[in-house]
Amino acid sequence: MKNAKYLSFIFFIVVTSVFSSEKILLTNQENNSYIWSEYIEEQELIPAKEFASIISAKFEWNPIIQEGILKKYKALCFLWPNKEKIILDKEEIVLQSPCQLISGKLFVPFDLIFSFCERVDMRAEFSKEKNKLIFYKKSSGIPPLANTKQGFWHVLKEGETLYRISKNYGIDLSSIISLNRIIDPRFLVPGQMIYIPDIGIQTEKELEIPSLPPETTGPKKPLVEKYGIKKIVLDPGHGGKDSGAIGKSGTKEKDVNLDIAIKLHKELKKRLPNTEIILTRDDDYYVPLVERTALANFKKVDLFISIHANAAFSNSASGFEVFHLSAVASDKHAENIAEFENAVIKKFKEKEIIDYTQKILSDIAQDEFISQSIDLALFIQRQVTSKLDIKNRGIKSAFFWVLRDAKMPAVLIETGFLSNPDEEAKMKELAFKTNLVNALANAIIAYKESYEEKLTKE
Amino acid sequence: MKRWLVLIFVAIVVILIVLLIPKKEGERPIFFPKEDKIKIRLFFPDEQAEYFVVEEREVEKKEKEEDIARLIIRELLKGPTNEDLYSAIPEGTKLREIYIYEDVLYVDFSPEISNNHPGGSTGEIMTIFSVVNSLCANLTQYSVQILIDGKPQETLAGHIVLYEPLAFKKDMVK
Repeated sequence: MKNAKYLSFIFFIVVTSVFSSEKILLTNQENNSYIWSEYIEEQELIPAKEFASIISAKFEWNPIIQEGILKKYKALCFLWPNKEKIILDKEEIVLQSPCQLISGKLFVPFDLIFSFCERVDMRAEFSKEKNKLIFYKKSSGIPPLANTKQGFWHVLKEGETLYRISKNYGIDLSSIISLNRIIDPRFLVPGQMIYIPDIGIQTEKELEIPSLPPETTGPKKPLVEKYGIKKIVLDPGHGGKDSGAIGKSGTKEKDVNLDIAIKLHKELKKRLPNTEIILTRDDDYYVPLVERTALANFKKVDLFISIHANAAFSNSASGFEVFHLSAVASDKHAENIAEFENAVIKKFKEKEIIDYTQKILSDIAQDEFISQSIDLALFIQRQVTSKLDIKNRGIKSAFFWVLRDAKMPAVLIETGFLSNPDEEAKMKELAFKTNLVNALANAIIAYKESYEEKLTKE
Repeated sequence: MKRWLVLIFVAIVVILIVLLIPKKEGERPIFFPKEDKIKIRLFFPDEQAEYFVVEEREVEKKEKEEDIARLIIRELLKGPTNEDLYSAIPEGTKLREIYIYEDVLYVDFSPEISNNHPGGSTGEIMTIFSVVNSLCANLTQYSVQILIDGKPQETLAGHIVLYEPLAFKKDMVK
């Protein structure tokens, strides 16, 4: 039975690709889009980006590391061109045929589409007669129940997140969640009505928001004032008992990091007088890893930049690289963080309750922070590689302490290799440090401007 | 005297018989070790510490997965045979123990893995994923958690989260 199904599937792939046009209709019953498909080695391939948009997923292609990320809700899938293997929710899956990079676009085979849909409670069906790929939702969203008449309804568009809506209307995300009785924001569907409360009925906390008519296009400045980048944390890595890497001629990483961070702090203060620049340490002392992000989260900082110097086992490894915030690996991890942060916050002797709504909030916001972190990493990379004579190792991600727990866009910069004698010498030169600090300041300011410009356009 | 020699001779014969006769049907006698070998894949960083390069090695086949894991780590600690590759395990590091619980493979190293580490994000990533990738590539059903001196640790060199089991990291494999 299973075999027959499989055979007929292969059969109609072959039939359709031989007899029909090369265009496939993608439909989720509300939206249709015709897309070009590719037929390679007896396999139909469709572009990942279009597939993602029809199922309201996100697809990001990183041309530097040649990696695609497909994301919806918490399902996360990593794809690479010319490889049959994919990683879907930490699991390695072998596809019948590899993903392909065709004129800069990543194309994926049908079995990936079917497995991914399965993960996000959707079903994909291919109709051979119509050359049509139909997507069904297995479960429908939870209807909103507004308990007040002041306000208005917003129809959820595809790819829109509650976080984005709250930013657009200038309304606190937690009040949207509670008013609409959204139990789990992962199960929102396009077309769903979201109740947007009027400023008048908002709670004390939200009254601080300048009253902002949501549909006018004129007064966008409040958005920048409220959501612009106002606080930046600079985090010089290691310190105190933790020296970090140590160069052949004895240069300690903790000193290099501190030196650059203090110089950058000074430069940014000069060039961004209205932005608060915070250092996680301003001298040679030890700060536990988790306290660094916990402090930034607690202070509601808008950017987190960790400064490090690199080392490797081979003394010829060299270059500059930027690591960016990546997805939280598990729910268990998120819970641990919340628990820990509560403890740290108590340590700061401030009252703070991380409730359920806030946890949801961080879930949604995480998506935004990841893409903003990648943006920032690219800005930094462009500036540094154009201003300094140093090898570019690209932007990467890994399970960093300071990048995983940050509730804001966050990057970790590795300025150069202390384990490489040439780079160690270079990093002691004042000219190198000055150029590096300038390049970093330029990048941060350019990122800030581009981010705030986007805010006014939305 | 003669009686002693006879007794010793008889004892040797008995021991040989015990060793040469298979205990169960299908099992080889202890004196003829299994010829079965398996190929394992080890991950070593390249010169620029940008990618892992795979080195294949033949080791004797083991039934228990813990034993396979032990062999993999033993081979990894020996370092690469290819001169262009580097070992990412700090000097003096010893394997303490391997445990499997549910779907996690715990690999416990001596404190040298952290104390003698050169540092750097790249160095740390190379150490961790040289171990994790080598284990995951050969024992695919497990994620791997590194323990140091018998305990889960916050970090190995001050960057990467070590508290949680880690999965195969593909983006650095050539």
